Amino acid sequence: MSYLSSKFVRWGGSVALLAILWLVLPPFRIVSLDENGKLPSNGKGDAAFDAGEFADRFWEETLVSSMDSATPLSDLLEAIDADLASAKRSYGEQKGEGAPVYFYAGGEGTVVEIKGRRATLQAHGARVNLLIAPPVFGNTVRDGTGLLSVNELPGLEEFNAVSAALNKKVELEVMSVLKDSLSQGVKVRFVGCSKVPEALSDGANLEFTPLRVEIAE
Amino acid sequence: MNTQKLPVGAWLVAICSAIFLLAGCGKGEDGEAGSDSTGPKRMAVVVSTLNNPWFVVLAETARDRAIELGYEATIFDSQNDPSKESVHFDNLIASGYDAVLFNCTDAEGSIANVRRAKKADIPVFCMDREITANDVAVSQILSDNYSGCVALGEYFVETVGESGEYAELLGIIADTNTWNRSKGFHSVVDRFPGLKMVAQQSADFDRAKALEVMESILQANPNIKAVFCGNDAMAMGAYQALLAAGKAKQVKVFGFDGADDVVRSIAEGKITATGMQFPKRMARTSAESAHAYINGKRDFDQRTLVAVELVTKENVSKFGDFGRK
Repeated sequence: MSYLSSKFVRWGGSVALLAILWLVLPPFRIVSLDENGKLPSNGKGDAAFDAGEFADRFWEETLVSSMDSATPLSDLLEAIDADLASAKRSYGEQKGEGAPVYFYAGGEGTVVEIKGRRATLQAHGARVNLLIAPPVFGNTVRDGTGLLSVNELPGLEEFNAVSAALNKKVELEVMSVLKDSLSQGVKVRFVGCSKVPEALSDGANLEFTPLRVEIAE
Repeated sequence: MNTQKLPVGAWLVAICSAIFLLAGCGKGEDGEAGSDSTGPKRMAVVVSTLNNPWFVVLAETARDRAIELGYEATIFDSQNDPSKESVHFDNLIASGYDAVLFNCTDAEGSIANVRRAKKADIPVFCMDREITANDVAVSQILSDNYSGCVALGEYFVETVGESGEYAELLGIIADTNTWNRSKGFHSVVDRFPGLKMVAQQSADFDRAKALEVMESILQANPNIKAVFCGNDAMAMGAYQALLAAGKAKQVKVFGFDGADDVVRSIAEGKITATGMQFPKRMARTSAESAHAYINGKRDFDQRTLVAVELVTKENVSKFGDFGRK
């Protein structure tokens, strides 16, 4: 009997010890995969990164205050008319060799045509396009001002997520202002970014994605 | 005299151990890079795979630039295997290399290798593939995959149209490039509800796997109009499958990388478009960064993005040899 009970104590103790070890030092950990079926990040602090919150903060704390110092549209168009390459050098934002060049500018123009998602504005003797309706693609908003660097974010995925969040913000908070209020002859005031093409030939216009836009009096 | 012979295996172990110990002798106790003796300094080029011409160009350009800068340079092929990559780091740390030009196999799994190198005072410079840590590599020269695939997505909608079924071949799941490309593409295409992705499978950036995966996708989804592939090797594999199924003209193929065979195929009308990365530019910049670091520079941006350009039949004549002509 005592033999059985000591055997029971040994087995029971071993099992209890294993159970405690299992709880304190589990041999594996169950984690949820993200929406891509990928393991979440490994503890560098970005697991809780909220691109929308970052975009809101960047917009309020950095972008809004920069808008009044964006390049005057009149100066930019004059420079482009003289020479696109030197306008790029004078007013362009570019991050690294081979990267796209962006203009960050603001001014007024009169709507001369609306076609699909674009309004064409007559401004300072030239024509520019203004994107007036979703969808907004790409990184023009994120990169166009030169105010946000990839090195301010935990990594590329987060940097790209911020781009998508900023585009969404433009769609919901900037473009919505224009809903049904644009027509030929209406004067608009805007600040926006434009990805600069290699050349502006065959009547192609610069196209601005607006960061702020309003109907001018 | 009666002598006892050691078994061959024991001799091999002894010789290997001796080589390993001698190789480690170049390293000072304080972990300082140990090539400050008489010979030239050395750079290691650790590349994820040499089974893909794009990575061969990346690795060989890095090696050649290092040699031009006066270093001895050796390429280590990880064969897409994190354990092989880890062994390469063991060896290059023991051998006291002065810098590592690194193209990782796993964005997270490879961090430990870079950390070990850093601990041994061997600076690591990532090329093309990101590691998801900001405090271990000296710098990371990376393709702007997301922007490149936004451009591809826009061209996809322009050429395929705003409705129809399509498939996607993903790269290696653990590589952030896979997801940056996929997300860039979907940031555009998903805005068109008429475009329906009927299959999304990984082919590990591998041509042969892409052929197999595409064959099975075609059996289940005979009406697809296009396939978006996360790299050019997979695009060529997918094209082969389409050719075998007699659907090469019906299904548009989109790749990413700018590999020479795909650029030629775009000119011949076989592949619709790709994103031109610039492996030579990334490799040279990494080697030059390592050279600058060895000569005392310390203020490096953690990440530098290299632009990707859309290559289509309209502009294909401007591209070739893994870059702009």
